[in-house]
Amino acid sequence: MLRRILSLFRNLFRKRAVEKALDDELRSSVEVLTQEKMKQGLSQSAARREALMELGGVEQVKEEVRAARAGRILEDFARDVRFAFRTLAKSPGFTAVVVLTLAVGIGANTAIFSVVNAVLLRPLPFVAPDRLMSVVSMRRGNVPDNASYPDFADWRAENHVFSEMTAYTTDNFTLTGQRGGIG
Amino acid sequence: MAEKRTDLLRGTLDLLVLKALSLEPLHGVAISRRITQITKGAFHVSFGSLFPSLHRMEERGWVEAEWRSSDNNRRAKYYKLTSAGRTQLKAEERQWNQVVKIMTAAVQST
Repeated sequence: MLRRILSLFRNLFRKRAVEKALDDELRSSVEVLTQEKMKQGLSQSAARREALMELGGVEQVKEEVRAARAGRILEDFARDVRFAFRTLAKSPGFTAVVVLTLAVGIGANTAIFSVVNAVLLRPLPFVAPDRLMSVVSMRRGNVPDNASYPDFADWRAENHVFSEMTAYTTDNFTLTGQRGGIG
Repeated sequence: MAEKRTDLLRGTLDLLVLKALSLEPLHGVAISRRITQITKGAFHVSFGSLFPSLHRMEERGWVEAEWRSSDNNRRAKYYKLTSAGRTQLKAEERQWNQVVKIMTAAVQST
């Protein structure tokens, strides 16, 4: 694994050295093949031609090797990204519309999700939120109403259903700041 | 005819290359010749398949490459099996024998 990562870095960042090594290897292979053919009695130029034919084209072999190297996918991806940016830069109007559409879309989704997350998804910040109950007193006509503190005290005194009870109250006020009035 | 041979070879090329290198380090052309020799002339590996296979195996650490001078004083890139390569050769031989056994049985079944 480590070895593959090392080759990956070598292939990506020391491309020239890797390419030169491949070039040297193929050049030497052509020479070995040429030598072999000359021993069979061919002239040097005929032997070289035969050697290149047997190798099947230096460039073709190189391309096959490149395709087999680690990091080929990354390289292709980088090329695609560069191409995409060039194409976008060529049509700034289109790019602006796309960016704006994406920005508005992502923004709207984020806003909606924030609300849904806070209201529906996130559990209440208590030990056992599924065992939490709200007790309300009802006015005539099934309208929820505020309970008085003595009511609550009675409920708590006679409670045999809940393990704890507590009460809360709400208030409304206006923020004014020191100089009076907002802003 | 030649087409068919490479098709057959595709799955087994790594095994053949590892086998060819099991005796001594060889350069690319010599590996090709050795494969032709050990298959009694049945397989001629194209260099367009051999070199990618060698480079892949080098990246995997199955073979190591080293520049040396060859028989007639030319420098060539020699490939040598590593210990990981030997392990891989054993594994691929075992796998190949299994495939042969299964396929033989399947072909002979009536």
